[in-house]
Amino acid sequence: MRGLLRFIYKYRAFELFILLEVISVWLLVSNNRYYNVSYLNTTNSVVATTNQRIFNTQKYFSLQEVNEKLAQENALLREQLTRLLYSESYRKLPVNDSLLDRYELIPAKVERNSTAKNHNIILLDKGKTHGIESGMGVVGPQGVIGQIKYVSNNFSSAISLLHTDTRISSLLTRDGTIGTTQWDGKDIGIAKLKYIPRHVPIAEGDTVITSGFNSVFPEGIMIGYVQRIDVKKNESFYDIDIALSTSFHNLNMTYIVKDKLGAEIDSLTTISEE
Amino acid sequence: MTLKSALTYLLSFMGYVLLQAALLNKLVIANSIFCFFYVGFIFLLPLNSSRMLQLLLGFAAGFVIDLFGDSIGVHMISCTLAMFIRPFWQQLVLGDIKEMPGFINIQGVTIFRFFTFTMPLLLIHHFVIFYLDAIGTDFSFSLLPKALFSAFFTFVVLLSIQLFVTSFTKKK
Repeated sequence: MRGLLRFIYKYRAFELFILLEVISVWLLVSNNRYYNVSYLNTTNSVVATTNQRIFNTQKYFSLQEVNEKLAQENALLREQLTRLLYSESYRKLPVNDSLLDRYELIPAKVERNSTAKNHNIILLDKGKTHGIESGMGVVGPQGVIGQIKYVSNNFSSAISLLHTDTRISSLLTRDGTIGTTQWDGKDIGIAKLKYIPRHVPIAEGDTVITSGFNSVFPEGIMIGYVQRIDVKKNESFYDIDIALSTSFHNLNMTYIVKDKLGAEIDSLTTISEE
Repeated sequence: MTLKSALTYLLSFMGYVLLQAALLNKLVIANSIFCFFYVGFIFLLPLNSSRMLQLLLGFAAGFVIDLFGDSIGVHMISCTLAMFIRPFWQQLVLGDIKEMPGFINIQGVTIFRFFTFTMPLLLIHHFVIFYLDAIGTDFSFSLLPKALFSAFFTFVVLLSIQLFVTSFTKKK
């Protein structure tokens, strides 16, 4: 017994090392596996408030740029509004109340954002109290941004499109082919468009938008433009690079998409899959 | 441990970590070269500090940095590993130094020895971080050069601060 105790005491540093490593690995793995159960991230209130203070100071120096961007977005929205009001199709549209206001957009400010890692996360200043839930989509004036992962009372963090686990159901406007957009961790301006079959006609410059096939993003949100098309031997799909429409290094205002019919659609999908 | 030394530890811990979270997390060259300056705190802990304390402080520093970086586990794993290796490496490189009060500093050792002591630890620490971040992606490219350049970057920042502090105290 005494020998055993002496042995344990002698190698105590090694044992502590193993213990600490096991804890770390467990945290790393469980944090990746389960959504929204962990408080060990930037939505933690102490961390979030500190981050907010830091970011507010930094933001002060970029007010000019932010103003210009907002003005641009205003102009764009005004243009779209006018076009919509005078378009023939709008007047002929059969009215379906529940579909017309299916999506609610909740404006949120970016508190912290990273682009340099493979798993980039964006911290937003809206949380549970504003009706945010895990899984909601995040869009910006220039297009798709990401999806909410963690939510605390006043903050939420979203996995960016620049996160190698993010997959976005996408649609090629040329002929309506459905594919998946995923980032490969290399260039912050370029993502891959996957699962587009080789027989589909496609050209550089084609527009890629969201498909609306799930309750995360509405249909027709901009993702980017086809930049490079490659065909590899013995592969049934194209290898396509798309230039992302959103510039992720200076994100500022975003909108969190709340799909009011999301639960209904999801439950229907679950039933039909069973 | 006296109260004074405990206070020194706590203050420098907060200094390093806050500086890292506020400033240096933003400072990324070419979107791939990072500066993990906070490791200065754990790598330069006093020569005679106990191994258990070194391990625990490494673990704690990694934890706080992970909270701020949304990467829970990554820095914890690499810091704990680096702090486990540190005593062996210290014995090998700085084993002959008997007396050095406070944190390891450039006045106590030459620049060359400072380099040989910190650089391998920085390399291991940085490489583990980039490896963990890249798991699950196609990382056949540039893990090693990324770690190498980042370790150099961190070293340059650490050294500049050391030199700055040295010149400041000499003037006094």
